[in-house]
Amino acid sequence: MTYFDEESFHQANRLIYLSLIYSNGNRRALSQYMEEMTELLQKFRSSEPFQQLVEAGLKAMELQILTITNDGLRLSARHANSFFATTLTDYGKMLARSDNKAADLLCVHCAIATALFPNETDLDAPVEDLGVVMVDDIIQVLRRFADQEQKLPAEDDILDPQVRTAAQRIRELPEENPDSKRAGAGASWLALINRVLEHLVSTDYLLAFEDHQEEAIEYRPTPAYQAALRQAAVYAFHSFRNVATGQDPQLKTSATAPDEEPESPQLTEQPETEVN
Amino acid sequence: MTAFETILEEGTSSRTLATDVTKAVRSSLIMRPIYELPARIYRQVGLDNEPNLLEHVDLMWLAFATLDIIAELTEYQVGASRTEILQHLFPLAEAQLQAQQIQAQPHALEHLLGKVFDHLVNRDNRYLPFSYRFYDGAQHQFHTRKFWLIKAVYTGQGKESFFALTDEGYVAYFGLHESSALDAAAIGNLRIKLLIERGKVDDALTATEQNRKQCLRKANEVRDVRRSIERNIQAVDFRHIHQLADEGADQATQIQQESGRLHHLVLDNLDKNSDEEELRYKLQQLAENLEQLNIQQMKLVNQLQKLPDDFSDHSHKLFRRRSIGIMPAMDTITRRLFATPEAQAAAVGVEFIARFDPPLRQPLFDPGSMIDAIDRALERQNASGDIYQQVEEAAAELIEYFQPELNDALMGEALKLLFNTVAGEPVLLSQLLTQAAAPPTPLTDELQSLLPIAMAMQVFQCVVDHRLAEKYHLQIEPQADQHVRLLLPDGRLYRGHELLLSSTHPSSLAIATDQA
Repeated sequence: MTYFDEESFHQANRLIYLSLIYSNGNRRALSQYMEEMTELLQKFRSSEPFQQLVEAGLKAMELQILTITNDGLRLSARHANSFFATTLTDYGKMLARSDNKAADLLCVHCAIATALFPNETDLDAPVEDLGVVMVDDIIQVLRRFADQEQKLPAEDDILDPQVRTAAQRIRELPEENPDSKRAGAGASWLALINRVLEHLVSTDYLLAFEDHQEEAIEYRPTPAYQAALRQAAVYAFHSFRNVATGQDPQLKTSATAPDEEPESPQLTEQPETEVN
Repeated sequence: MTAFETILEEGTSSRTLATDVTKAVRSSLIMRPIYELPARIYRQVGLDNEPNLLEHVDLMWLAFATLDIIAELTEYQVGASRTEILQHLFPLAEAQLQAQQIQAQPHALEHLLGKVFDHLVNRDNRYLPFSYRFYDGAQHQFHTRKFWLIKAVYTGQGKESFFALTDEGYVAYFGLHESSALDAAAIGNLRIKLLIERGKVDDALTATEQNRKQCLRKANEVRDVRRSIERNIQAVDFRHIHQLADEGADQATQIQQESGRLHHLVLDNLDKNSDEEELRYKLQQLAENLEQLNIQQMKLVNQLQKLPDDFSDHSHKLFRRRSIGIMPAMDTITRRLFATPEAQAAAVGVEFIARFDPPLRQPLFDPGSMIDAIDRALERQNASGDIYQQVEEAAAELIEYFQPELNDALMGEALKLLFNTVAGEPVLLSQLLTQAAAPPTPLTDELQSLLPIAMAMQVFQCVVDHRLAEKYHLQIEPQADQHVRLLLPDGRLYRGHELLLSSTHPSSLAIATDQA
């Protein structure tokens, strides 16, 4: 056990606290602590015991590091039961709707990611090179994938034909709901996409640029989004493999003790650059 | 295509009564929304003294007319808006009424047409697909068929939503010949035929253009697959490639037959209309377009059929050791996730969202800060100051408001003294109170005796409200081990913990010397 002075404990907690503010995308709240943050990050990078201390603290709070930027640690919840986890209710609160379904939101999340990162190399490419997406692109991706599982060859058919798939759910939703402003109008692709995009922008994962001539909003990814996605996508992919092979440890245990991630957080440097 | 549909398609080899009946039932479900139309719109439309329009119009006719109008409008645009469709429908309905010499209010008729349209898009059920249960005799099971006739499509243009016919919608209108090969290009050919026969050559030209775009899109898809074969063959499913190639060959033969027939149709028309110069020109152009389309489709088929060869050319890469840490492509992940059963997808989704989205800010409940917030809200409400307004009625008695003993002047004086004393060096509260009792100030005797109390009040306000303390640059530290008992000049007793007051103002010294 390494010796820690009292100051280190304080600083480690301070770094977690400030990183929470940073991860929430609240630049204004963080601006007054920028100097302190830089110092703490320097200590984090230089001292391994301090790193362990911070990681222990994060683990105790059921948080994980997605990436480390010059402005702080990007954090997310370790699993769905964590106190800090974003839930469906949060999406609901944002638009005063409570009819969110996790499967639909997952599909929309993936569609947005697929529109932004069509190739696997894009997940490692500098975000400046990735270009923008608009709602139209995401709809295109959804259209493409909505009848995806129908095209899967028969031998790959691990499912009873009676079981509905995520794609089927999406297929049975209208693309756009003309009555969307009425109460209880029901979900549509467009409503779901806008809900997810709005949340991503508000948490600083995506940057939104309004093009006044075209009256369309262009979305650009940030490195934080890329890093977060890389981890979440790996999780999603593995959990699918578990479904496919019949062993399903992730989903079974997630209710009780969903810990011990095989992949450790990537402690690689990622300069967070503004994309304008 | 689901397993069931595959059985239906292959059904010809093993036909039984059960499969035949099931197929007929399944196909006829498509017409059900249209048949149900009169039953769904049962209420009287319009006022009582007017004729009930429902009894005089042919709703089925209007429903099919709606489908036709959308089919025609969407030839040269992605979708048609509700207003646009109803505009086209209105004269048709009016003509029906005129045939029976019935006068109807335009708005009543519009209302009725709106209802017809709303039913066809399933507006009452939130624009979700029509959903019907049917019995599958071959499998001894019940299935549900869900489909749209008219579907809202996202275009990202304009303020109104756009609607287009689905494949089912086309099938319902162009007859009950449901077959899987009715893909976009084949339907496009059907449309072209319809337009030529109606003499709308301009629109037919646009439709060929659209067909060409469909081809291009398919070609792009093929190009994408080829690129991913070259770049990352692991991400490509070999069986998928074969399926694409087979599909391509089948479709292409069919499309080619169709196009050939269209070509003949155009040439036929050319002969008939040989006297009209402009029409001839357009028809020739159309024939040319169709020919080009044919060539393009042939190319596409070739490309599709070459895909398996491409795959085997690059297949040696499959045996390469994969480098560690490479991500699966987003495409693969998404495809897999879309094929997951919905319950599992929901479980994955909850986890995904939690791990992906940043940690949530959890507000902690704190009674103190809540009372604070309420307080501030109340203060804002009273800010208008109307309770201090002059009462002007002569007869009214003036209400006596509470006048505090510690008035503004007194408090100001106390604050001044507090500042001056604290500015130099830290001071104990007891010292401060003694000082307040002693020195002569410009106040009257009566107020002078209240000065220590005013001073104590000032200090307490700063203790309670840290914002006030910050404003006055005061730092107050309770001295846990010291207690004070102090008799004040007006006979009151001050007792409690001792407080140490110090100034945090950077220029406090300067002010102190100035004021002294």
